[in-house]
Amino acid sequence: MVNFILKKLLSTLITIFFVSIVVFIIIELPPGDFTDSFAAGRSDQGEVVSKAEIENMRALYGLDRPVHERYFKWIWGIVSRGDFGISFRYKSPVLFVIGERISFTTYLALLTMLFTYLIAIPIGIYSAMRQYTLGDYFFTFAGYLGLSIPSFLLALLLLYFSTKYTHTTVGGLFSPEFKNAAWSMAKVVDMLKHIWVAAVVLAVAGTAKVIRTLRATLLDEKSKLYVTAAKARGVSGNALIMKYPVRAAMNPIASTLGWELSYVISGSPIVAVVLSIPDMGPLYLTALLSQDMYLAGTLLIFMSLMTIIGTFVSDILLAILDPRIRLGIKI
Amino acid sequence: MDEKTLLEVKDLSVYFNLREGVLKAVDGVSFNVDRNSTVGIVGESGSGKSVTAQAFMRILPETAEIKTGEINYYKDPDNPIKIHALPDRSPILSNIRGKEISMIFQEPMSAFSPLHTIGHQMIECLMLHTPMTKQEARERSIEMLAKVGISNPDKRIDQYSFELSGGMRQRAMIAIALSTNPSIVIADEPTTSLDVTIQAQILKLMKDMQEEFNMSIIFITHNLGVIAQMADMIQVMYLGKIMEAGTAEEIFYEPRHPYTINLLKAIPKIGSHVNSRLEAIPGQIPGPFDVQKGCKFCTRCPSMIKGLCDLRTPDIKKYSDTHSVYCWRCLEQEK
Ligand SMILES: Nc1ncnc2c1ncn2[C@@H]1O[C@H](COP(=O)(O)OP(=O)(O)OP(=O)(O)O)[C@@H](O)[C@H]1O
Ligand code: SF4
Ligand SMILES: [Mg+2]
Repeated sequence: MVNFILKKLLSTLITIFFVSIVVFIIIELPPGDFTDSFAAGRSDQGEVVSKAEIENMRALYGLDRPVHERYFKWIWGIVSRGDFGISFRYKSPVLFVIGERISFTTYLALLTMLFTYLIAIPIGIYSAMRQYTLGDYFFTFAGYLGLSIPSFLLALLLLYFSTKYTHTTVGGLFSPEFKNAAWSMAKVVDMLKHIWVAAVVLAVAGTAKVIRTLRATLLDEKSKLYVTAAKARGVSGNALIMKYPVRAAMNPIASTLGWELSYVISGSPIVAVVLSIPDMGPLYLTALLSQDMYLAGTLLIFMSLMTIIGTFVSDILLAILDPRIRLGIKI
Repeated sequence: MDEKTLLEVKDLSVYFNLREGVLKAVDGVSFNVDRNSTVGIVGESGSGKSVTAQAFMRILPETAEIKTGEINYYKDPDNPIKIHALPDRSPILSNIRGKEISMIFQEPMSAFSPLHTIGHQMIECLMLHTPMTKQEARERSIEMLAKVGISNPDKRIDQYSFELSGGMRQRAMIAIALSTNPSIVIADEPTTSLDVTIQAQILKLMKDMQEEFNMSIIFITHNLGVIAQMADMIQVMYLGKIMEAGTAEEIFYEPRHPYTINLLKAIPKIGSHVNSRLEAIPGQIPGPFDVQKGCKFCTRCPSMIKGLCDLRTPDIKKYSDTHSVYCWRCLEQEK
């Protein structure tokens, strides 16, 4: 097991390394750099920026150095000091600009995952065990509905109804009275009160998918010979179901956890915009447009990192759950 | 009821209610299993052997139901258990499964959970049916694994089924089945997936175990060669019905039913040409949903009597206390 984890860790680190290169190439890809878009922005406002001024700025931000030098300098900063470079646009360190938003996105993603599994697993088991009952049909129908409603629409609906009936604004991250207050338990609770709508909206489609996967796997496992064999040994009732088919059905759930996470993250910007939650989505867009490269790069790296870490956790969970994977045996 | 009788099967019918129609997998089967004896059930694929066995343990698929008949278990002759009548969730049923009657499956690979160790599954069974503690159950399991000829049992117990060879897996299966000291062991084609040498070892093991543990065996196979070594009594089944029943001697030396006779012809003889094809029984097997009137074998029977065999279900013809046949031709010859 230790070997397995070390191996996975190594391959994860290698993946991260390559991803960082790809990210850097992507943010280098558009012609020109920040100074050009800066100058363009100025001249749109009727100002003239002199050539010398631009050259100065280039030198200041190190943009005149060759690509590989800049890449390694950037990476070294990250690895050695946790310094992700500076944002040209905000004229301050990248982490300072996005730190809070990154943590919001992380909370949101984790909360969403928690919701997804908390709701999906019991329903999936219920649906499979009571196949073709009213309850099963109900959840199947609700699942299709959840899959087909666009998340922004659901967000709008929730926003509308919660404002109308509870007279609280769920949009934004805090109620007005907490907006500028210092962090306290009450403020955290207030944040959860606001963020849950986003988490529910983001969780809906994922939940429907997990329910369907779980139901299908369970139905498949339930009729396998090893379950009959366990029954023939006298194992019965819930013990039989929970111990054998449900246990086996956890494997596909664990193995898709990484995708689920990336799905949540890629879905979050649009929901965040609708609910006006300070997620990283909008920031990312402007960073790309203004070629604020270290900011854009950091955001991109962060999003990839979430997926990579999700996959890593997936792999480890799967190995814990399935001895065949742990022992390296082909299924 | 005879004192020797341990399990009595009376007019058992099991039907599958499928979308395509009703499939009569077992259709009026009766026989007894005596204490400490081996009953062989033999017949071609699809004749209902496995379904019969599943009915004894009430582990039929959800689509199947016991339509008629009785399965009576006489562990305590004064207090028989009507297995057929127990409700699905009856604790008596869970107690019979694995404790009174155990099953050895054809494919030990898929009959073990790939996510649990062999030991886990053995200990679970022992703890369900005996007052043993976990530690005692573990010791007993190791002892059983050693008994069925598994080397390094204290290591094997913590392994998964896929880490064992086919023969070892089947031995482990037998170890689980016997660990609770059941009165009846059902072996459903226990050696079909194994190669011939291993097959012989497993058969010998089962014989030895039977002697040691005093149990009855219901041995299911389509291989007459195997059943000859194992069974005291043989039931020949075809399409859900018993065709002929008798002692091993009666079936092998005085077969009466045309189906049995043809099955015996189909055994490859020692010394016959290596490439000579198995002499399969010619003719068309009726589909599972066809309602075949009369004798079910009449579509393939060389001695079929037109107007009788294909219309009326044959009566029983008894050649001895143990030897009975369901065939019009045999009844006719009497006259
Ligand atoms: N789960 C099931 N669903 C539908 N039909 C089934 C099911 N199990 C068995 N049957 C049908 O019941 C009949 C008897 O099957 P059974 O498995 O008892 O045959 P068998 O004698 O054990 O054959 P084999 O030698 O192939 O194991 C067959 O027609 C089979 O198609
Ligand atoms: S009853 Fe008729 S068809 Fe059936 S086995 Fe006997 S002779 Fe053949
Ligand atoms: Mg079978």
